[in-house]
This record gives sequence, C-alpha cells and structure tokens, in this order.
Amino acid sequence: MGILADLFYPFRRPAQPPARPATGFFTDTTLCIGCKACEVACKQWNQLPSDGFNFTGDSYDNTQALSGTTWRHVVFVEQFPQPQKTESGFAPEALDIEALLAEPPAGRWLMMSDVCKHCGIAPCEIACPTGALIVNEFSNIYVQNDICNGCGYCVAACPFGVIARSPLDGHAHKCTLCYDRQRDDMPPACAKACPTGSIQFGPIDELRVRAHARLEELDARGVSGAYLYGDSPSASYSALNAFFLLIDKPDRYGLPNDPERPQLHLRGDYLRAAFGTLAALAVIAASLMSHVF
Amino acid sequence: MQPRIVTKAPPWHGWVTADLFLLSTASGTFTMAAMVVLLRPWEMDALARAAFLIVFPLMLADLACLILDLGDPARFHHMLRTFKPSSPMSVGVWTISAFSFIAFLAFIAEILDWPQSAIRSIAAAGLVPALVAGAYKGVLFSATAQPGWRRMRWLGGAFAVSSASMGAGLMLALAAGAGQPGAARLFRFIVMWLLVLNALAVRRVMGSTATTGHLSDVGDRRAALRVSLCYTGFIVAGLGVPIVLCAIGGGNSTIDGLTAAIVLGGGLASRQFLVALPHRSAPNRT
Ligand code: SF4
Ligand code: SF4
Repeated sequence: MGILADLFYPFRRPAQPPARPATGFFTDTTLCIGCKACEVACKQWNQLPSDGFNFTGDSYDNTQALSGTTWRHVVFVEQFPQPQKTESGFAPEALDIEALLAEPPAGRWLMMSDVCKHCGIAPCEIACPTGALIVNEFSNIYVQNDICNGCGYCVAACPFGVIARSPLDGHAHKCTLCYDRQRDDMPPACAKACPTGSIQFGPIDELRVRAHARLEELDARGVSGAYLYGDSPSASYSALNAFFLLIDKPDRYGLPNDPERPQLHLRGDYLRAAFGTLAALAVIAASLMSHVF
Repeated sequence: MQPRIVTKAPPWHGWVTADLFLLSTASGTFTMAAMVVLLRPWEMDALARAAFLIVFPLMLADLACLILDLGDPARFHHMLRTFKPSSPMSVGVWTISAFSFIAFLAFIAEILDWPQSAIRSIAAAGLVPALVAGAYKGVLFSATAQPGWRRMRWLGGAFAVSSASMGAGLMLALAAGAGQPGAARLFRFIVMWLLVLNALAVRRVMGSTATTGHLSDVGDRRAALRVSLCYTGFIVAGLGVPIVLCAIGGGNSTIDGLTAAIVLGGGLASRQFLVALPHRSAPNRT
C-alpha cells in the first residue's frame, strides 16, 4: 500500500489556490551594512543547516555563494587597492582613515543581500520536467519539495546561479519567498529581520514605485550611478520580482550584466536538430537505396 | 576585465556521460537497423535483427544511468507527471519512454521470431522516436544558461548526426564480425559520409561557440585554448582518422573494427568533454 501510494501520489492534482497580488523583494544595496541578519533569519525560519565556519582568507564574505542550503547571501564587494607584492609575499596597501574618508574615498565596500530573483518568466520553471517548480498564487517561483526528483535541469537553466541541488536530500532548493509566512500574511523572515530596510517586501507594483522614488532621492543627494537592476524587462530577459538598486556594474555584485533567457532560441534549436536529423537520414537512405552497393 | 561566471554547473557527471553515449549508440543503431529493414531487407536482414537484439539491452543500461544520475532516484517516475514541450528534458523523457518500449518490442520480436511484417511495422513505428532520442540531448544542453553550451546553437543537429554515425559504426563492426563484406562496404560508405556531415556539424557548433561562447564565457585564455585544442583533437582523431580508414581500409575486417572503435570511442570522449565543460568554466557550487 505504501509503495502504491508513493507511486501515484505525485500524479494527484489538488485544486489551485486563487491568485493573490504579485509580491517580491526590492533590495536597496545602498542601505545594506553587511550585518547578515537576513542570512541568519532565513536559516532559522527555514531550518537550514549551517555552512560551517569556513574562512575564505581573502574576504569578509565567508558565505561565498547561494546554495541548496543557503538561500540568502550577503555579497561583500571589497573595492580597495590591490595588495602590493613584496619580497616576503603580499602586503596590503596601508590605508589611513583620512584616505578612506576623503572624497572620493580610497576604497569602499559594496554589500548586497543576494537571493532568488523570482524571475517574471523563470527559466528554471520552464525547464523543470517534473513540474516541481511552479509559479504560486503570489507569482513567486516555488519548488514543491515533494515532487522534485533532483534531475538538476533547473540548476543548468538558472542564469543567476541561484538554485542548487542539496547534498542532504538530493532535491533542488532555493528561496521560497517564505511562502508559508506569506500565506499567514507575514513578511518573509529576511525582510522582517533586516535592520536598515535594505530588503523591502511587498506587492511588486508598490515596490517598483518605491524604488523609483528612492532613485530620485539618491540623485537629489548627489549619489551618482545608482540604477535599478531587473526592474523592467530587457530584450533578452523578463523583469525580476526580486530586483535591486545598484551603484556599480552588475558583475561587480556577482550578477550577470546582460542575462539571457536560455529558452530564447529553443524553437530554432529544435529546427536545427531536425535539420541535422534529416541530413543524416538522407545519407543513410541514399546509401541504402543506391545500386552501387 | 571579463565578467565573472555566476552560473552554477549542474550536478551532472559520469552517469550523464554514460547516458549520452548509450542513448546515442542505441538510437543510432535502431535507426540503421530500421532503415535496413524498411529499405533493403533482402540482403542484410540478419544484421538488422542482430542490431535489434543489441538495442534493448543498451536502452536498459541507459535507463539505469538516467535513474542513478538523479538526486532522488526513487522519484524517477515523477518525470511522467507532466509533458512540457518547452522543456527539452521533458520531451526527451517521453521520447525515451516510447523508444524503450519499441526497442523492447523489437527485442521480443527477434527472440520469438515474429513474422517479417511485424518487424517492419516495429521498425517503422520506432524510427521517429529513435531519431528524436538521438538528437534532443543537444537541444537539452543548448537551452541552458551554462558557459559554452548556451552558445551551441547547432548542438542538436550535431547530436543527430553523431548518433547516426555511432549506430552506423556499430553496424559496420557487426558486418565485419559476421564476415559480410558486401554489408561492411555499404556501412563503411555510410560511416564515412556521416562523419563528414558530423565534422561540418561540429564545425558549426564550434564556430558559434568560439566567437561568442567560450572566449567570452570563460574569460580565461588558457581554458579557451584547451577547448579549441580538444575540438581540433576530436575533429582530427575522432572524425578525420576514421574517414581516412573508411576510404582506404576496403575489405579488411580488422580496419573496419578499428574504425568502429574510434567512432564509438570518439563519441564517448566528446560527450564526456561536453558534460565537463561547465565544470571547467564555472565553480561548481551546489
Ligand atoms: S533566479 Fe534562477 S532560481 Fe530564481 S526564479 Fe530566476 S531562474 Fe529560477
Ligand atoms: S531538480 Fe527538481 S526542481 Fe529542478 S528541474 Fe529537476 S525536478 Fe525540477
């Protein structure tokens, strides 16, 4: 009975909940202080295991990357002069406080709490062959853990390097945008924990208005180069439901400068495969029907 | 400065390489045998029948690799809860299911000595699934965000031709082994022209990859050079050498066996290279 139930369970289709207003994150990186409260809150609420006391040795960013068990990652971008090569190895540039407070400063940290982008048209969801990845009633991209079989195709499809297969259970995992909390009308744990308001949660239309107002505010304050990443669709990618305010190029934060939806050329790829197939078939048929042999 | 690679390499390793190799060989061999049964049954029927006996065990081994490669193998059947043409993996799963069933029928038909008309029907019914099974993996890889793969617009076409040439290689080995010089001559000819086609397809894959793919994706000149050298190696050793052997090795069954071994070995090596590509380029942070 148990085996039969396991066998047929994934084929059941319960009724879908009614659609709710689309929600998302607006992450204002100019407010992030790198405290990692979001990382901790995410781990705690979602009962994710610790990554261990890893020490990169060349950065304060010891989390390093999003993974199957780390769904929030505070990226530390350390923009300081390169260490100088000396006879005994590398010596860090001596920076005094004046140099750091000067205008422009001699170096700076950029910090960004990275997360699944909950892409408007999500390559991972399109790729998933089991239907484990779905667009839920909040228009968030959600992995149904009881369905995923760990094929890994979503990992290959995600242009942001977000979703990953966990070695613990062999299934794919990523940020759920705290689906369980949203259903109980609570904000995601990370947004709740963020002490500076860098991570803002809410209806996506509202967030976009707020983000544009923030850009204007920064501009008025003389912060140059601020812009929104993923706020609107590009020629090759949809808008993101978790979008960012950045002040340097995307790749400085570990984001692709120009993300491309992997399925953009799918029709052409199928056609070229068909062309190759027909060409091979023609060679075989012509040879078999030839009277030379 | 080149943009940093941010994608994660998928958790695909040896089982996937084995799957690519077995599926290509099985689908290519079925295609060859089916075409023989449909177009030239009078003189090579025994060879085609031997091929049908090989295809199903190859598919069984392939299915085992596909299942073992999953993070949760006990959930393999979850693949069948949906059909998504937008997902080449979903298209592939259904195609492989259909092809495996037909390969099973062909196997049973040979064992139980079903009449020729039944075998012809099975061959005709299996041709389309076999051809799709031979080609779809290329699209599965090219429709990803992975460095290298994502620029390989002709990978599906290359897989189609490569699978056919691997099947033809196996048929050549069978013909040489069975001491059928006429059939060996025919398959030598087919292998040779399929390999020429294969070289053109690989050239297209490489062309579209070298200009905008690996070099911009990898951003590391040594890695790009290694990739280029590997491709050149595949073209020369995996395609050029057997083409020459086909052209000069007339009637020698040892050379025919060697040709088949190089074609199949080249197919395996190039698939392993392909699977490893994102792991060379991007840090594997799963
Ligand atoms: S960022 Fe990656 S994992 Fe998140 S929705 Fe987009 S494609 Fe999927
Ligand atoms: S690993 Fe799971 S979520 Fe990802 S594509 Fe496969 S079945 Fe879908």
